[in-house]
Amino acid sequence: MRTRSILCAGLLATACVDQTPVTPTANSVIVLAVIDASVNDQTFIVQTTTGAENQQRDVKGARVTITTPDGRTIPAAEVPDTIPPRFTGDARVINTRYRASFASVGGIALGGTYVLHVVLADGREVHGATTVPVSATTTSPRLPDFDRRHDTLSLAWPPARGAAAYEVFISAQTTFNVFSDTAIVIPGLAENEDGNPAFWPGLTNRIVVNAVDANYYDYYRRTSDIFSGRGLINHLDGAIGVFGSIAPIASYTLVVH
Amino acid sequence: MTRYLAIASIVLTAARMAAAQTVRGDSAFTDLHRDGNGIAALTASISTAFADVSAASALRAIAMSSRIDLTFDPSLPGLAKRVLVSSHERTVAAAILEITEPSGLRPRVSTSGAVIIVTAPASAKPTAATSADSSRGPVTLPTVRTDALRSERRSFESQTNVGGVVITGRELRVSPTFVEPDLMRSVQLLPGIEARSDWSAGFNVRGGEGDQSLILVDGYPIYNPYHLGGLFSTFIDATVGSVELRKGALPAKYGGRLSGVLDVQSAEPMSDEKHGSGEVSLVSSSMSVGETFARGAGSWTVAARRTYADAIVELLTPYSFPYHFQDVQGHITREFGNGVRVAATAYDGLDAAAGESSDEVGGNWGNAVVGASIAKRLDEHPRFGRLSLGDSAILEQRLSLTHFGANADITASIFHAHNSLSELRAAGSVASYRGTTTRSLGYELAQQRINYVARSAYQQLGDFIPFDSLRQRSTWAALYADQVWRPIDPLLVDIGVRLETVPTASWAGVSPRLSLKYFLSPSVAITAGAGRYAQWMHSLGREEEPVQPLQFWIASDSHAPVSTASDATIGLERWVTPRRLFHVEAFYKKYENLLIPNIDNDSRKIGDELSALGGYSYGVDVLLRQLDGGPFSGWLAYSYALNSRVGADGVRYFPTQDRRHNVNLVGSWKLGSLTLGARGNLASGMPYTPVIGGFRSTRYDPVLHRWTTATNEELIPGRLNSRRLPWYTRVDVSVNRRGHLFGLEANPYLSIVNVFNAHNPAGYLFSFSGRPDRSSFPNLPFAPTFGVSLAY
Repeated sequence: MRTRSILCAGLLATACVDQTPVTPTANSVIVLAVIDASVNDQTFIVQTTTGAENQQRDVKGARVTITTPDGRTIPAAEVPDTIPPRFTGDARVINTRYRASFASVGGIALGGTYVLHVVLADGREVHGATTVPVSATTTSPRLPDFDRRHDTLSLAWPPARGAAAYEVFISAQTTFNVFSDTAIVIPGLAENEDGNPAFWPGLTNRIVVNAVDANYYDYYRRTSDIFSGRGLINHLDGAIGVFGSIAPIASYTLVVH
Repeated sequence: MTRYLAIASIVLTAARMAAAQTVRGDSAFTDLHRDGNGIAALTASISTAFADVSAASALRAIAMSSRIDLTFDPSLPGLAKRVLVSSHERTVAAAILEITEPSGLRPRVSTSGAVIIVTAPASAKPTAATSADSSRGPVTLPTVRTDALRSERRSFESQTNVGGVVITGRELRVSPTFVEPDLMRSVQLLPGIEARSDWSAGFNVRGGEGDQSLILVDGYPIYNPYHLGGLFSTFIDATVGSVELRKGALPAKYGGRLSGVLDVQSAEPMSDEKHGSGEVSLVSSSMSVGETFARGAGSWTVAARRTYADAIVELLTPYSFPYHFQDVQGHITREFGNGVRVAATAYDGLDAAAGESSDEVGGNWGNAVVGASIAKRLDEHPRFGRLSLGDSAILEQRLSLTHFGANADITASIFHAHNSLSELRAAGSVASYRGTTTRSLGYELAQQRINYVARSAYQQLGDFIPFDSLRQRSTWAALYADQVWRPIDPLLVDIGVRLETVPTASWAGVSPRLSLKYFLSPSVAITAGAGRYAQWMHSLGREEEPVQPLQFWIASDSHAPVSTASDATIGLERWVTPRRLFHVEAFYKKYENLLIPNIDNDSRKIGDELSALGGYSYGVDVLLRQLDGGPFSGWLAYSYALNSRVGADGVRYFPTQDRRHNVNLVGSWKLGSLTLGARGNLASGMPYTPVIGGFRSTRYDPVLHRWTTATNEELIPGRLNSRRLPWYTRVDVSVNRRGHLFGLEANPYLSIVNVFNAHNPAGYLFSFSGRPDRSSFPNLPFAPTFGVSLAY
């Protein structure tokens, strides 16, 4: 977000800039759905928008189902979600999400193909499919303490069948993520797109490595071009967004100084 | 030979004396008077000083600066006399008389403005020339009229010139400038040429993509001739002698590009006295120096340029401005008495940027070109074994090394970009001349090494610097044959064929070329041309971006096919007066396997960098041009073009460079010591993709197994290039004054770009957070700039 803002500000900095109000005409459905093979309960986001961001709304009353590799249909129930807590003024924001539990079918099957089907109350439908990568979870030794001013983080892991790429995700005060192949070197002073450090000093940073499928990789490896809006890769039919899957490979904790 | 060279050296275009010489009576020439005999070029003002130089050098300098045709026998005794003339304003005619009168010489002028220097008679006697015994002294030449043609006129008469424009460096400077004179920005004002935005010195030829034009320096390729993200070109203004731009019907000697060729020839000094120039603008300073040697048989020039903002900021403030660019260029030629001519050109340029901590941020990029040629002229009906090489022949061998390199690192963003392209090219040709027939046979052989890596954790940067990683070794070879002849007197035909192969792309092809010129009269000709072309070097820059910091090049290989195109052209060229010409040309181009950057490119995959599409372009270019040599010069250019592309998915669209109408009116007026310049541009809007909405996308947190609160704005595009920017209008003005400063010729200039501050958007930036709006990314605003050029 910071990069886009900096690019826009830099490009507009030279002269008077004409600003013209526009009326959005997108009228789109947004679906963000990820099958996380490390948990049984999956939470999906279904929204609509006119194109104005303040008109982006959680959808209520949609019928969301996931078809498992063996043909069973798991419905996703509409649930209120207040985690993490957010507020608008004093009022706590309650999101509407759709949650499906796969405990009854033995969890998520690695290598299996799952099919998403969403039907909105207004009749619009969304379709998507994802094949979960087959990863072998590795043991995750404790990493040595990390001085971000001098150290770099080097990780490597075995390949996973069906993986389009691998995501390294660092979570502390803020998050940092990057795609790579089966190895990566992250400088200690790396920053995320908002300018926050990848490694937060004085905190225990949690790091996970996941194999990701092509849908997930394609959607998150690109952003829309600041001029044309093109670039976001969407594999959903009937909506903008993603229906992808991730499978765990390794997780670490890192004490950062 | 030396006499021929000496005469030719002061004629402003290389005259073919044998072909053009006619014998006329002396009534064609009259004595030159101070009022210039009513010839506009001779009444123009000049203020050049001459400090102890030979009369011959002074006359050459006058001829050069005034662009007049001036001829003399270099063995005339008076030409060796040293002259001393202080700087002052007078007419060109008066300046010539200042030199000739004390030197015992006599200038005579024809009705067309050609000046010839002869010995002043000791007493009144008929000026009709008689043959003179050269061994006894000066030879009078009034019976000989050398038709020393302007380069443009010579091109009209001797070349089919389909889709071509020949223009001198001097004429390119008539238009007002942005900051400082820039060759590429002046080329953008010619018909059939489009620029993506005011921020780019690059150009599109007749609807082609920006990488479809071959840019040459003295015939040697240069790949990224831009500084400061495309804002300026790398050509130092003082080094530009002439420019040949070809927009279609390319002759067989040119290959590797689909749309055009820009061949920049270095200026070559004409004086045996060391002369130079300097320029100081708001951005940079430059200087050049050169002279002839070996009695005009050789010449050399050296030029350099550097920006100075970094030095000034560090000198005057506690801050730093860690960016600068610099260029160095040299050119040397030498002709030997045995018909051998050698020439060499070298160029090196650099853009360098660094952050506050060079360990965290840094970048540099630049070009280097080194080229040399050796040519041998064979006279007297040369033969190669039993094969006749015509009345004369020229054998030429060329060798060049071209390199482009770019590096950038931002540690915090894990951003790293590196691109290097090196090309070693050997080329040779044999040209045979027999009467009006010229036959050429040539070859080109090149090896390229390309490395490209770009990666970052910040995805947005990929819009400007595509993320990818590849390493290529490419080779290509070409053989060509070409014949220019007149099967019947009014018809000039140029037919050729080019055989090309790119083994590393498993491709070989035949590219025929044909162009015709039929003279309806000595000054009117109909032209037609057609050809087939291939291109195996492709830029990763995206046309829809109004600002492209750099062009990154990759080669065709097993993943990216060679692009091909065909074109057809028909036109009319008419010389209304010796200095005014009219040219109209219609064209059609068809593209196959046109490669453009793949917007969905995965930097971790090889082979998906480019996507192929087809398309066509058609249109018409009109040019009405007033050549310099009088108080006014300039041109009116109009282009109409329609460009269409169709993707692999069958969707047809108009590419970003599809500007339907473009009018440029460029003029320069000489008023005494002032030169006023103006340029008006009116153009229809280029296509753009409207953004119809935005939304906030959320990231999934696999550590906490939930959706995060961090969101980023994403845009929702409308149909590709379905809207057009508004009409583009712009007026630029400039004023240049010829004067003197500390004994040097000093020409201060003031230039105002976009004098009416027209708001011309180069693109739009949409925002849908808060109140949805569209902000225009502007082209150049009102921008006054000034500088001074010096000459000595």
